[in-house]
Amino acid sequence: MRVKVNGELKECADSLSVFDALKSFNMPLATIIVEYNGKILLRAEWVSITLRDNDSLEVVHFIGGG
Amino acid sequence: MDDKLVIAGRTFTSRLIVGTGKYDSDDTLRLVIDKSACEMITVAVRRVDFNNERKVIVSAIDRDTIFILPNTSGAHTAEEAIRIARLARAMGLSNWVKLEITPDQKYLLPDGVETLAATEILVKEGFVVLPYINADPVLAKRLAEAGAATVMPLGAPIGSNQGLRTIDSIRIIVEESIVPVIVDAGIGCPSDAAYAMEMGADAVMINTAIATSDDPPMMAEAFKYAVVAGRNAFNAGLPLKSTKANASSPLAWLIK
Repeated sequence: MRVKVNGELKECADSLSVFDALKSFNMPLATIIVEYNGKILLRAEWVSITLRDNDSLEVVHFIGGG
Repeated sequence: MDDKLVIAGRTFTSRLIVGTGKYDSDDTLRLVIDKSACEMITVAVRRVDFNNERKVIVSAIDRDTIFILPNTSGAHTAEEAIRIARLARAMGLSNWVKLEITPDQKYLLPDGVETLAATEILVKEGFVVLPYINADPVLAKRLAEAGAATVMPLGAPIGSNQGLRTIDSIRIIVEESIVPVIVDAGIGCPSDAAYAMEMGADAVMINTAIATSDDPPMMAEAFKYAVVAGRNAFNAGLPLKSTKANASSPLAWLIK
């Protein structure tokens, strides 16, 4: 299946949890916040939500800025 | 003398806020923070770039001594800024946000209408809002009434190093404001910062002028002293100006 991650379509295995998908994309898990189909997720929800085709993830973190 | 900066109940000894953009390494940034003696830094919220991993600066910062203020830079509308603010809060550091809404990319001037609208919503959601604004005393007042914790008027466009081009309006904001005034953007050198502080600004925020100097840690230290000097001068009370000379040495008992 394909999910949209930060605007890019990515191939991933079926029935992955958000957590597994983030790991497979090598996301820095300790320092990110994830929006799933427009809704900000609690960390506890990463394992409980199973991705479906065409789902969208927005993964953000803090970087230097003024 | 107890002269602390208090914003939304949080106390700061330093009146210098440092932006963390434009640094090529975490090591330089750490040195800058150390030399500036700042207690608050700003950060931006961005997508994780999987192709080209950028350093996550939060892990490089000692959060016991440094308060992290996320900004909404990149937002063109109130809606975008609110989304970024909520994402930043979800990071779990605090409910503070530096509200920046800049639809125009040439001058990055803040949109006052969108900023006021976003402030009203974010305050209702429990955020501590520090809005970046043009130096507009009426807007500053409206934002304070809407619950903004500070106002952050610009001296000149972001990153322009042009100094306090809006000085007369900033002076009115400082005189009238019921919330702390942080002069942000455009400050190009320590004397600009000192001038803002002498005028009674509560704090200044600096990024580009430090980050793009040849020796950022040394420049950070220069800004530290400038901010302290300006603040002390304000507290001491600037003397009146005169168009005529007033002899500093006594005029009695002259040797003739």
